[in-house]
Amino acid sequence: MASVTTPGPVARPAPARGLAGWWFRPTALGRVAALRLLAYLFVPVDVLLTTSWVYQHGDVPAVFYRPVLPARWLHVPAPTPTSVAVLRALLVGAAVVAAVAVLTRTTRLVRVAGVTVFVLYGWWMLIAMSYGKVDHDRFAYLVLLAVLPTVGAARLGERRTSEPAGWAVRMVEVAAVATYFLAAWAKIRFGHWNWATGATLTGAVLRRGTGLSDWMLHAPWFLQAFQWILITFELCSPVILFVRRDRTRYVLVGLLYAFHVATFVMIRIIFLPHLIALAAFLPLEGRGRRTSEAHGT
Amino acid sequence: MERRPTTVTRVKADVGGDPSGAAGPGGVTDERAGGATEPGAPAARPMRRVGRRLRLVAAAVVFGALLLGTIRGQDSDFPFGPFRMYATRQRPDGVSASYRIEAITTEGRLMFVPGAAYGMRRAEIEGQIPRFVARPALLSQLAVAYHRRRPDAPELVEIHLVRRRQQLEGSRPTGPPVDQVVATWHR
Repeated sequence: MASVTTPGPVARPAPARGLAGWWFRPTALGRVAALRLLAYLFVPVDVLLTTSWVYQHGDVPAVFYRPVLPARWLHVPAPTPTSVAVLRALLVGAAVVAAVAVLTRTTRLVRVAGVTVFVLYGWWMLIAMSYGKVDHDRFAYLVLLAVLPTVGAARLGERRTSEPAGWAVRMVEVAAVATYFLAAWAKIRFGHWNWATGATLTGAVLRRGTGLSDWMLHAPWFLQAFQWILITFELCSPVILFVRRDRTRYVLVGLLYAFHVATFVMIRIIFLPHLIALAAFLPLEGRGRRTSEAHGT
Repeated sequence: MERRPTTVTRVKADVGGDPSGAAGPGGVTDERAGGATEPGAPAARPMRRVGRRLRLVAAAVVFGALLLGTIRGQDSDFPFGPFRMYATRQRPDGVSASYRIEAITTEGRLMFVPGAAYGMRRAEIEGQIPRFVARPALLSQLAVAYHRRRPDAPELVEIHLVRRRQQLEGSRPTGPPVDQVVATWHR
């Protein structure tokens, strides 16, 4: 039955309790709207510019196709030049429609186009990752695309909060943090407890170093210190989910962005889709008077 | 606070499902109510139980699968595989290896062939190294891809998979890198 809304301007959602409360912390709808715009506008950038190599897989003989899990389950056939071209056109088209729908506040369209983008982008990823190398900058972004359509109407700058928005934002936050934390786990699993004392980053710079990082090869202490910092920070990353002060959280997220830029300078690897998802932590709805502080007349 | 009764009507509408699609599956917000009150007033109200449950189950499935993939999975379990980029430890006194593709054209020129020329990234070639070593004839398929992508370029008549080994000592590269052809195909 309909839950009873307490009359009066201080009408609040049932107070967040326990674990469920943590997942459903009411969050400004404006943040979801901004994330939609960011996520959908990023699709053409990703597909046409920054990871345009996916499209090339259409030319690769099927013998190199090593389908990843969902592709095996769904029997997704090896791509052909035609199928990647059609898929790319549909994906970019759906993303543009979704972005326009955010701006025109056409809620139903933004959700339908959003589901379409998620499905097509997911398919695009199966084509991308099924040739012997998977990337790790996609998980949080895929979660972002999956959860965006679960939220209803939202407009840019909207401060009103909702629980579905809170869940969606929380999913993306947890996915982003999991990317760091579980990367540390993988280092321990595959590289063992002494991973940080190795020369893994030396190998990385040898392979993909830039003019700005070559000096590091002669300063192994620097790369090893970086490894210690890296794995420590990855293991500590869940802290960001539980920081109470907004300011502290924004500073931490700023440090994460700085880390990714530094990595790019060193070895030309940047987790662009992950950086889009990371924005879920930021007050994209605009700052100022907080909804939770709204009080009665 | 006098305007509040609108809220009650809205609750009813939400429960019946919002045909305009303006509310989430758990139906939450209402444009009018929000617009009628001060900007910034909280418009949220509790979600329906089923909406919450579905979302909690979704969270458990997604992150449970990811955790399982991290503990037991492999790359091919994407998107739930382990985030194993740079997870393998390079021994400070070991050998760092990387691979590249070289080819000889009909004109007899030996050249480095970047991944974009045959549609695969270097790491993808590296992901399939054991297959190339076991069956060097597989390299011919790179020539097929190359000709698809560059129909006007001189044909490739020979392809080499080259491994570059760099000895490390105390995490520093020592001595010049050593290149070795580990698989060859020729027409």
